Formats: sequence, C-alpha cells, structure tokens
Amino acid sequence: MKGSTAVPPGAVVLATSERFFVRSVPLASDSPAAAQVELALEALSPFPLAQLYHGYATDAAGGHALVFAAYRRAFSAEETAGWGAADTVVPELALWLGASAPKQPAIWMRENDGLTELAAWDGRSSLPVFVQARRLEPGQEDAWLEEVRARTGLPAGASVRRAAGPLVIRRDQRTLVIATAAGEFESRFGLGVLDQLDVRDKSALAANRGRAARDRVLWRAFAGTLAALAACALLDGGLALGRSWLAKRRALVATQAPVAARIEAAQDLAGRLEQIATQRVMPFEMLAAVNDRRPRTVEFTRVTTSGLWRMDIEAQTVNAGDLRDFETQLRRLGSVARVAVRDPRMREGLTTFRLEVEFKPGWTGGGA
Amino acid sequence: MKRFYLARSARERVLLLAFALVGLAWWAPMALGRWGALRRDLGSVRAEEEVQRIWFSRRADIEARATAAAGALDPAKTLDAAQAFAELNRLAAGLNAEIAAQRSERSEQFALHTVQVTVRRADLASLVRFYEQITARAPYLAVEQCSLSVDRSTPGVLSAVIRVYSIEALAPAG
Repeated sequence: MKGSTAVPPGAVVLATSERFFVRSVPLASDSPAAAQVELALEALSPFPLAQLYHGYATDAAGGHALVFAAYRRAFSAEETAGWGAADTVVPELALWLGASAPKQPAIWMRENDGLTELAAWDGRSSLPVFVQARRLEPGQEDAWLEEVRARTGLPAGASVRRAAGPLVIRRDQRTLVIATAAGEFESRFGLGVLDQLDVRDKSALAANRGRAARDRVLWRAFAGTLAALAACALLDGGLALGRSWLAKRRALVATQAPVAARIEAAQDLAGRLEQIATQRVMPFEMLAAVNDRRPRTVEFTRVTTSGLWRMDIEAQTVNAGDLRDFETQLRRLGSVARVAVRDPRMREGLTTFRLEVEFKPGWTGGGA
Repeated sequence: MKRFYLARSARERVLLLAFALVGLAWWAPMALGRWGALRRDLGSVRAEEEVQRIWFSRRADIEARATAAAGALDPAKTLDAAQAFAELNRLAAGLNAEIAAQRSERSEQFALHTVQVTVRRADLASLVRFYEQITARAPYLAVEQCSLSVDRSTPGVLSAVIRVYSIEALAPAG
C-alpha cells in the first residue's frame, strides 16, 4: 500500500523513494548495527536523528549496511497520517534490498509515475552499492547512468535491466514479498528484518510492536472465547436433538417394559414351578433331624425356615457346655452342610443363642 | 470480526473480552453439565434396552420352559386363590387359625397364590397333622415358609406362622 491516509491496521506502507538519500556505511563486528547506523546518520545528515525517517539493511556478511533516511518534514501530514496504524513502513527502494544479488556488475532500474529508481550492483555484495531515485527528463538517462558508473566504478559493459510500473506486496507465510507487478524484480524479507527497514521512529516502533503484541493476545483470547461460546451453542443444539432422540428411545423402552416384565415373571414362575415339582420346604422333617441330636438341657424357643434348606433356631440352655456338644453333633449329621452358632449370650446362668443349620440340597428328609 | 474488534479502543477490547469470558464462564459449565446428564441418561436407557433385549431374545425358551413346567401339572388338581383359602380353612379345622391371602404371581399359563396361616396355642401333634395334610396335596398346595415359636408361659404349646402357596392353571386367553 502506497503512503496514504486510509491505511488499514496491519498494512504495509511503501513510502516514495524520491525523498530518501541512501548511503553505504561500514559496520564493525563488535557493536550493534543499529547504534552504528544511528551514529553514522548523525554524521551524514544535516538534520538531527529525531527529525529523520530512517532505516537500514545489512549485507549477508555483516560488513556494511545500506542506510536510507529522509527529512520528516519532506512528508506531508496527510501522507504520514496512516503510518501509525501500519504494520510496516518502508521506502519503495526496499525493492532492491532483499533481492537475489546478481553475480556480475549490473544496474537495475524501475520507472513509475515519472520517478526512476536505480540500484547498482558490484557483483560481489548482497546489497547494491548505490541506490538513487530521480525524476528524469527525456534524454537524461544515459547521463545519469554515466554518472553512476563514475561514482561506483562499475564497468561500461555492466548490464542494465529495466522494469516499469507500481510495486505489489504480498505475504508468503512469514515472509514479506515486495515485487514489480510483472515480476522482473522481487525482494523477500523475513519478519525479523522488517524492523530494521521500517523508517519510523525506533522507540515508537518498539511501542507499536508492544501494542500489536498485546492486541494480538487480546484478539486471540477474544476469538478463542467466541469459538468456545460457539462450541457451547453447538453443544446445546446437539443436546436438544439428543434429548429429543433419547425421549423417543425412552418411550420405546417404556412401551416394551410391561412385555419384558411379563417375560421375566414367566421366567420366575417357571423356575419356581420346576423347583416345586421336585423340592419342597420340610420344616418338621428338619426340626426332627435337629431335635434328634439336641442335648436335654437345650430348649428351642423359635424355629424358622429360610429358603429350601436352611433352618434358623433360637434356643437356650442352662449348661453352656452343651452348646458346643450340640454343634458338634449336628456337624456329624450327613445331611447337614453347614452349622453356625450366632450371638451366644449368658445371663443369670441361662445361655441363649441362634443356630443356623443348612441341609444339603436334595435332602429328602431321611435320617442322618 | 477481527477488523471490528481491532478497530475498537483498548478499553472496549478489554471489556468485550471480559463480557465474552463471563458469558463463557456462565454457559460452559451448564452446557457441560447438561452433556454429562444426557450421557448418564443415555447409559441408563441403553442398559434398560439391553436388559429388554436379553429378555426378548429368551422369550421363546422361557415360554417353552413354562409350558413344560405347566405340562407336568394336572389342571384338575390346581387351586385358585379362593379354592386354596377354602381348602386350608378345611384342613385347619380344630386349630385356632387365622388365614389370610397374601399375593398372587401370574404368567400367561399359571398363577402362584400365597396364603399365610397363623396358628396360635396348638400342640405339636396338631401342627404336624395339619402340615402332613398340606404336604399330601403337594405340589399343588405346599409350605413355602414356616416359623414355630414356643409359648413361654405354657410348655408344649406352640404358635406357628406358615406361608402356603397354591398353583392355579390358567385357561389360555382368547
């Protein structure tokens, strides 16, 4: 997006190259490039650093930087109105700063709206050795080229490539691409390099980045919350459908329940009939079998059958020793599967207890 | 949406996020609770369906088994609830007995009626005689449970609570 007032948030603004001067600055490896660039600009520029829009690009070897700067007042308030909201503001000459450098000395030119940009390459550096933008009158190009060759020492046979038309900007994953419309020239910049190229005030830029990061976090949180709310809405919609479907299944189950209950009752009754046909409760036969082994001191107070084969007896005796003998005698009965004495208590010489006697299944009431 | 959100002031953005979070905090637990309840209900309905499926799959076997069991009975000797009541009343003649019908279980082919006989202050010989008369009618009339207790004040005198069942053959419907 070329410098204008209507700049949507997050856009990349291309400032006209016409107002920028470009210089190559050697870099020392022992201090940060940004500080060296600012120091060099203070020496190069007649204006204080605070009155300049400036940025720079370093070559691949890190041996020198191409610094570009423009006097702030050279830009109207209307031109810079949208820069605050922009993601990145770079001069159009950035087209030359991320390109694949030619292996031979060459001059690349682009003309648009009467303004011609020129980049001269020495065939060794990854950055141009000279960049300039001029409005040329007809017939002035050759003289300019001669001047450039003279200033840069490029041979007369250095190739010249030309392109025309506006630049296009696109994002390719995490790379910003600036290219001519027809694709003759193209520069690619990783996101980490864009802060160097951005011409705005560096401290304001850092604040902008902070705000952008905060906005990004807020937006992601908001979007995530909206997505979760949408998921809740979907879940509730699905639950409404699920409840309706479940109600139909429940109604079907309720319809079938009486039939299932009848089958279950028939099963129970059939089982009981089969049992009744072959087996029956024999309370008096059980009582007689147990009574045969009863010591004389033991008296039964209550006997109760439990199921087909078990008899629970409440009894008492004045001789606690007979309880042990009685239990032993019952265990010797071949018809008895299990004997258990429960809750024996002695009070005033009388011992009370409960006796559980379980006869073997199939016992027919015969003797021991 | 993103453009709308980012175009708001910082304060509005924070407020919008706060409102959305409050909405989510209110809605999400309820929606998740409803989801859990639906899953539990679904589990319960599935369990009931599975039980019913098992019963239906065994229906033919159970009916065949019931038919076989009923086939072993002589319909002329079976007793309905009233007949059982009358018969027990007759058998308990001479005893201080109280007879009460309790419940009936029915299938399509037969019914099982339960009657409770409570005998107070009887001697053992009378109770044994009563029991033997019931046993003589087995399996159409038989003892299901019996409880005997001694009268502490009068040696040799017993009280009995005897639960008796009777089988009734039912005429096929229709």
